[in-house]
Amino acid sequence: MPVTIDLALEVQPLESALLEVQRVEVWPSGRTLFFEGEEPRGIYMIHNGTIDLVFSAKDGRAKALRVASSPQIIGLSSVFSKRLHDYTATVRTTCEVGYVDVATFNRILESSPTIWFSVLKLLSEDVNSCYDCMRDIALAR
Amino acid sequence: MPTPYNLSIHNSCADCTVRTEHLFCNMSTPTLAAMDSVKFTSVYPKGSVLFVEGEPPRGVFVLCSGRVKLTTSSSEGRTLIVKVAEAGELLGASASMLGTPYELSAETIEPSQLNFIRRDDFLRLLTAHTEACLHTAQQLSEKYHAAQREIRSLGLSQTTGEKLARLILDWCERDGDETPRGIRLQVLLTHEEIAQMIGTTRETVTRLLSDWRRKKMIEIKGSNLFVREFEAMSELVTV
Repeated sequence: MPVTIDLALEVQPLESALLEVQRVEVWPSGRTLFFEGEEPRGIYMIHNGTIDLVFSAKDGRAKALRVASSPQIIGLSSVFSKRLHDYTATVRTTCEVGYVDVATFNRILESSPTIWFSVLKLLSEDVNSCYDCMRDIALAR
Repeated sequence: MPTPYNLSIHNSCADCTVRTEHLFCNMSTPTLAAMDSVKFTSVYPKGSVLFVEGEPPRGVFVLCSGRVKLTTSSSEGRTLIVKVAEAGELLGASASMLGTPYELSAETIEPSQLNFIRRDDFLRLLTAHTEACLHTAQQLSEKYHAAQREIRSLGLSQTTGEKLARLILDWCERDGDETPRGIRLQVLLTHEEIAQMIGTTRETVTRLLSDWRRKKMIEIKGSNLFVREFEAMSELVTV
């Protein structure tokens, strides 16, 4: 899979470690990686394609308020907070996604403390992208 | 002994009596001793600006007591309060990790004790203590989930009344006291600041609160807000 190989040449230590253990799968448009309210089972590295992050209201209305694409990793924060997924991740355009389950991810963290900096940087980028999204929704009008 | 603003000051993290209640600070003695050796403790009055959006990252602040509002602004000068941080939270971590300017501004809304750690010292602390990495990751993850919650509310709420009701119900869940008059909340924010939390105007917040007061859903006495009709308010919320 050429995309995966290209990624491996330039990625940070965390991604390098994940690329070795990931289970890569192609997800067609419309499929769902995980649902809002589900327990986190692992993390998902997007190698190509785009994924809608869909938020639902109590009355059933649903809206894709964010979009994730390569080289983002989704589900990372849920692994640390142990909170249920905040959104449903639905494939918008066919994706190649690498999956690493929580137990394997935790083993990587324990065996290679040096990758903590990559984890913290990715989480920081996730937080900043949420603030950008909030700014866009609340202040753009 | 008198202390500034009558705050209970904790000078040493290792000896802090409330650290077990705080997510970030609840670490082992060696890690806390390392943190003690690099932190600067200060007490700030209400209205102190800790850092400003766009400023290069100087370091992180651990909020020991008090509350801090985190805001972002649009290029037209409109302000959104992204979060009100509580004791035990780590502030400025994402900018310090990435080496990019602070994404938000931080200002105390009540007298607060904060421990400041310079960026280089913070990164060294993380390098030497994996436990500090784990606690920082947990802090960032909590901030991420709190932000997602706000995104849901801002993006899916159909009316401003719904956004305000949702905010008040969140406060009830977190800080509300059951009293015979209803759920009591101590609101330290002005109507302007409440408006900035839900992306609306001060006038709209004042009008909605007056309306709910007339309908006896809430009662306001000084800085205390009593939610008298919790169920009626819950029915306004669809997200």
